[in-house]
Amino acid sequence: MRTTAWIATAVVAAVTTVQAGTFVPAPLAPEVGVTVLNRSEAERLVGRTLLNEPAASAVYGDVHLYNTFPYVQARYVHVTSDAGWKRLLYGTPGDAPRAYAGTFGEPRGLAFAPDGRLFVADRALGRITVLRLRWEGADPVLEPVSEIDGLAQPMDVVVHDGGTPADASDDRLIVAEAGAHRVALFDVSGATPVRLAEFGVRGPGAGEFLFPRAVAVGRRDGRSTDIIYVSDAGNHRIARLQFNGTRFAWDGAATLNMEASALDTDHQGNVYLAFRRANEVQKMTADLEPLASLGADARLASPRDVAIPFAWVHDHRRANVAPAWRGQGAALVLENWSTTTGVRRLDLGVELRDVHRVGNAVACLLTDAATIQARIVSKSGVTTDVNLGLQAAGSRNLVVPGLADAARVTLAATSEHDRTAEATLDLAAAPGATRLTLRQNLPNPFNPTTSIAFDLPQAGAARLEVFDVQGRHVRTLVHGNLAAGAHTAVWDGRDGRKQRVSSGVYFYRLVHASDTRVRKMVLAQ
Amino acid sequence: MVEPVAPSLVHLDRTYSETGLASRNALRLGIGAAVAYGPATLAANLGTATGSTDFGFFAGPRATLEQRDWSCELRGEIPYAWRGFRLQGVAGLGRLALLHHPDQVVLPFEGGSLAVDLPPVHAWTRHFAAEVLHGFGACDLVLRGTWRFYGLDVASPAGVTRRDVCDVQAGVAIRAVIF
Repeated sequence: MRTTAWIATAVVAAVTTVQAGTFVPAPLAPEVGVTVLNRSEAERLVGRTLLNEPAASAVYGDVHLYNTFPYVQARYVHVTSDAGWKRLLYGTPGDAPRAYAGTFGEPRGLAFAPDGRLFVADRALGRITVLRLRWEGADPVLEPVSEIDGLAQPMDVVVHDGGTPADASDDRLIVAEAGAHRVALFDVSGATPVRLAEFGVRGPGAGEFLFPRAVAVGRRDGRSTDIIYVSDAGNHRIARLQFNGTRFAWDGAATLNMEASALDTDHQGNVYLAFRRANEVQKMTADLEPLASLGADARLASPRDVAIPFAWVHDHRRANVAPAWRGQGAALVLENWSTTTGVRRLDLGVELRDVHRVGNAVACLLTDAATIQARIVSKSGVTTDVNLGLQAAGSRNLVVPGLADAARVTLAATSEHDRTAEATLDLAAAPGATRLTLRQNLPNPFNPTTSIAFDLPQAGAARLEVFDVQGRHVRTLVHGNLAAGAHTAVWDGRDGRKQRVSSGVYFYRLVHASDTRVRKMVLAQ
Repeated sequence: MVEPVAPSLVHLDRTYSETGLASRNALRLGIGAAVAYGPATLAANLGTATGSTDFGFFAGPRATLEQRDWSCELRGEIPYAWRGFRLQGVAGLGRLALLHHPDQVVLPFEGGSLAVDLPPVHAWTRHFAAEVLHGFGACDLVLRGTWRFYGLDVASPAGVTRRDVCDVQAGVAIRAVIF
């Protein structure tokens, strides 16, 4: 017997949105007049081409705050691997860069440990080169420390700080070994790296990879969590692994349209992906819910890397305050090296998307963590301001007091980077749905139930179904003739035989007339 | 005698490289007035020079750092001229203020922003200068090089230390005799 659980609602709403950007293009080095560092700008600034085939970037910083002049001191080192000229280029922003030649075959992925060690994945030599960053006055210097040999085409590396950025004794190095279709784990707490474990075999299924190309660690408040993300390039997906410090376990995967060239995570754990072939950079939540993308509008040119700068913040103004490992509110995107494209900076902003009413709540997609202020104008014209607190990025169901009597609700989101977005939900104007809309499920991730809202532009047959990542049918939630307007269905995380399904990524598809909409959701156990 | 506009280029001490200034060179605009008695002149000057700083951040706020100064000085002309050019030695004392505009910045880190106050810093200064003068009409065209010395308390990860600072200025001025 088919079980269909759905609730029809008659919410009618019109949304007007003032959207800031999730990715805000910003000049890379305004003090020297550089918006995008490319071949032309490099030749203008230093009289050299600088790079041949940039592969990856990493940024490491130190920030000191004082009560005494100069009050704020920040210094950053920006490292770029050049697979073409087999070297690293590094320096502080605005200053002439230095080259570290070392002995590289094809340097690719880069990762800084919080203690200043730099790990370089060398695909051609099957090696990880370990360097250490040292400061000579204002000048950064890279010095060799050790090497890890015997790897199969390492494409990318990431450092897991064990949840304690200030303590290197529990640091682990995770390597994407594309040639062996696996990720490898190393203990890098001591002078000599020790191989601890590996995970994955060649294949398309759970626990399998096909040319894993990039790795990133989950983060919360800047610290590494027990989640590892792997760009499974050959299978066009991003895998989530559970990590306990010594071994990995498969935790599901989200299917992508194509391979992700690079991954990184910000301070809050949001995931950034670079799609070289789609000329696109995308942002997802830690649960791999898509948040926003930057592509054709920004004219990105084959982005092969996206990196979030991190810095140690030493606040000397207050005694006994430990240094904090913090992400910067910006992303560096490495594009094709040409006369017009190269290294680009995107500031991280916030948007309020897909704002609509669900019962006594306002649902929305928030593209960055932000504090939400709601201004409610009642039908009698009374205005009330309510602080809805700090909300994490992702689909949010905001309970707004007095919504039943509201004529208009305006949400204002202020992110931690002091960027703002605003969206107004006009509940009085209220035209009906004009196009087929399938909204993000709420909550997401969910356990045990989630609501899926959708709008039909006209009365007629509609079918809402759930599929797993392999494309197998799991459950039909709605199948029948529905009235035009807004509807909501509820999924309880069970299949057609009323058995609970396993955690992971699922897709839900809405078919109405000749139109189809598909979205993704995550069931967390 | 007045000095209606005295532009000069200030090359700031190496200490300022730690402030994130885009450049250690800044344009200073000054005005002055003086009273001459024989070969000696007593003068007073006001001036301001500004530079832009990003504090060294990769992506962060910017501010303007202003050097605002006043000084008094004694000038003594060497009793020798060559084709109308004269030389003058200068020694003086003054007060310097370092001001940030705005006087507070909010640093946009993920995980919460941090507000940092940037209160003004004041220092007593002493300076020495050499001037080349050439008269035309009731005015003098002046080329001047100045060395300004002062002490600054500067914070670093190792603590706060007192540093001896020297800024160098090179500038021109027109001095007009009005009485």
